[in-house]
Amino acid sequence: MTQQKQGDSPPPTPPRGKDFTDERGEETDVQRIHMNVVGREKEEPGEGFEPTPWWVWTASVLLLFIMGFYLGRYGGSFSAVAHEVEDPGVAASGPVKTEVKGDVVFAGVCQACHQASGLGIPGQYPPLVASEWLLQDGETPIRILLYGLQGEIGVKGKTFDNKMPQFHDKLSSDEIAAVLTHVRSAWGNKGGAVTAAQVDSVRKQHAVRAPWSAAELEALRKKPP
Amino acid sequence: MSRPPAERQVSRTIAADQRLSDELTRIGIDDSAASPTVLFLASGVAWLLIGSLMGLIASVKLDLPDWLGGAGPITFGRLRPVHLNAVTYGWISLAGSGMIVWLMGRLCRTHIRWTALLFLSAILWNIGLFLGSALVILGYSGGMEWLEFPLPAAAVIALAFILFALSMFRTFAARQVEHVYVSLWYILASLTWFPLLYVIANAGLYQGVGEAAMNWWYGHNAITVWFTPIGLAGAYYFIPKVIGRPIYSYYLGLLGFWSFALFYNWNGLHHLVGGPLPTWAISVSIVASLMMFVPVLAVAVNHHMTALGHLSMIRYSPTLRFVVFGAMSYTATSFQGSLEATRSVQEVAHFTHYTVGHAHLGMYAFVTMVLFGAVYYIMPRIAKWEWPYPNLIKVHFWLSAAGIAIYFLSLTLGGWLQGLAMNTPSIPFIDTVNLTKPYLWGRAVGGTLMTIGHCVFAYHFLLVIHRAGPKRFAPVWFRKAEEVAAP
Repeated sequence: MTQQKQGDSPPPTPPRGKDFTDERGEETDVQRIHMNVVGREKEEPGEGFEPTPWWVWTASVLLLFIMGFYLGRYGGSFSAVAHEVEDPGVAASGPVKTEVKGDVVFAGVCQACHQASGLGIPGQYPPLVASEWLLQDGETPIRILLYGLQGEIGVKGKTFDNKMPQFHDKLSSDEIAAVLTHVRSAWGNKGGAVTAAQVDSVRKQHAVRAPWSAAELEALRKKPP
Repeated sequence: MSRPPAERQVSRTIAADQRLSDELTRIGIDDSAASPTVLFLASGVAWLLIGSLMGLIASVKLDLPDWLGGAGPITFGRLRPVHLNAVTYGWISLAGSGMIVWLMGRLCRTHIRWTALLFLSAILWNIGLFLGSALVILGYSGGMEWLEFPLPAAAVIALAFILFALSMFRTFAARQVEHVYVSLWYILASLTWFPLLYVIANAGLYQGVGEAAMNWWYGHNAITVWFTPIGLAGAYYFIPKVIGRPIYSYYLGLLGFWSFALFYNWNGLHHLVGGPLPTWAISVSIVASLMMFVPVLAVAVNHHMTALGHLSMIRYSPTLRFVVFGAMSYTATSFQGSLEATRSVQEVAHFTHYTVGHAHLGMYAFVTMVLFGAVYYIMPRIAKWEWPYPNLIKVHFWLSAAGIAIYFLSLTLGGWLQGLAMNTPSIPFIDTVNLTKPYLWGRAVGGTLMTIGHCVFAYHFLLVIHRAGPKRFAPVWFRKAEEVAAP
């Protein structure tokens, strides 16, 4: 150990100029170079062959196990669509129902024709504001949204002849309920809320079919199936 | 039974001759590396000064938002990217390349081949850096962190790197050693990995969320495959070299290197925790980040056991003092980084100054400090001139060490408090900003100390290149030999 400790000391400063002489008292170039280079550094480093400490292996393997568990627990089932880890509390209470916002559905689906004001475009798209078809009962607008409407129809005393598309395969019952609840209460409308259960029951009443005519809807409203 | 005096004399002479011939070979090898190494190191030091200045201005702008705010080119959003690119692709990359050239000659025991490519590489690299910085200053930033340089500048740098790598591989192919030392593993790996990474990242192959994922795959891997190998290759060489013992364990070296290669390149996506990426991708990167404990532990134990019983040498070896500081910071920054990758820590630390503190612990306290140590070792050997003023080295060390300590502690504490405040909905956002003010001043103070240290270092470096200052006949040690020898 003392031997090693001695190795730590910096090498002695080589003597300078005239003092730099060999054993016979003569200055030599070879020895000058020698002192300069030997004095200045130790040999190139190599590698010892001590075994890896046992605890390094133990810690590594232990960590590997823990991380395997972590990946299984927080890996989102390796699904491409799972974002972030599910909250265990929510997961235990069953499937999460996301809230559908009627105004969002309206802006994305209906607004292009019926307009943000709900007034439609005169002569082309009928208004939703104070529309008897929308507000008289809940089931008629559900029928229109599900299966569409074609041909002449009178709304608030004006006649329209256009085509309302079908949404039975494009919107879920939740979305239809949300958007109808929205339009039946927006712009001063005072229709009641529509529930997804009502939409489902209308879906059961009618098989998928061609667009309604105004007369068919009127008949169904007066005499429900 | 001792040998007769005459025979002893002869054997001693033979041993001395052998050693002398080894030394002369070594000098020849150093001479072959000298010019390209000086070119790389000097450019590196120049970019260190530019980068420090940009960083300091950007830091002070956080304290005095109206200062120098009048014109686009000197706003925070342009100066900070120039700081980042100047210190990483300028200082660390160029000084690191200089160190690699010199180490390659030493560890392959042969002179450097294809040096013309190295000169070309250094010149192109500087052109790329100037072009890139100018474009960012003028507002043509790529907009992604670590990838701000627009394509023309990035293409020049990529070409420079490939030329550099070609010369290094040619030298390696001509090696005169049987065994490839551990520093070379890291160097050779990074010479293969980094050009691939840099070209793919700059090719613009991805859009949208994929681009964000690519951005951080690149950002973290630039550290993985280029900056960290530079630091580790330096630490693995200079610690045993200065102490004069072999590195403790070849097997620990193997474990460290291969676990490093296996786990580190998966780390990038932990920067996107909470982002719109699949959960599994983020979780995998968190797992890989925590698995980084294995290579870091292996390297730390290896270096510690090598230095054990000799650590007192940091009192008088300038190189060892810097390199040991760097190696210890590597352990610290890596352990911190692994924990920081977890979701629970990121909840607080993400999007705060805490991350900035961590980045500087890695890039400065680790890589930069190792590079300082390397420059202090290499320069006298290739310039044939000792460092004229040992006290300047001491001043540089303490300015850098104190600077990074103040910088890191300020931002770590300030960033954490900022994160806690931002997680409290009742605290208005402006209060979370005001809360960080004193810590941002701490950051500016730390940055100032480091910048002054760099000026001292650059001045000393210039003296050695010009062989100016008092002539010294022996290597620099901080204490006189008599002092050390006394009990």
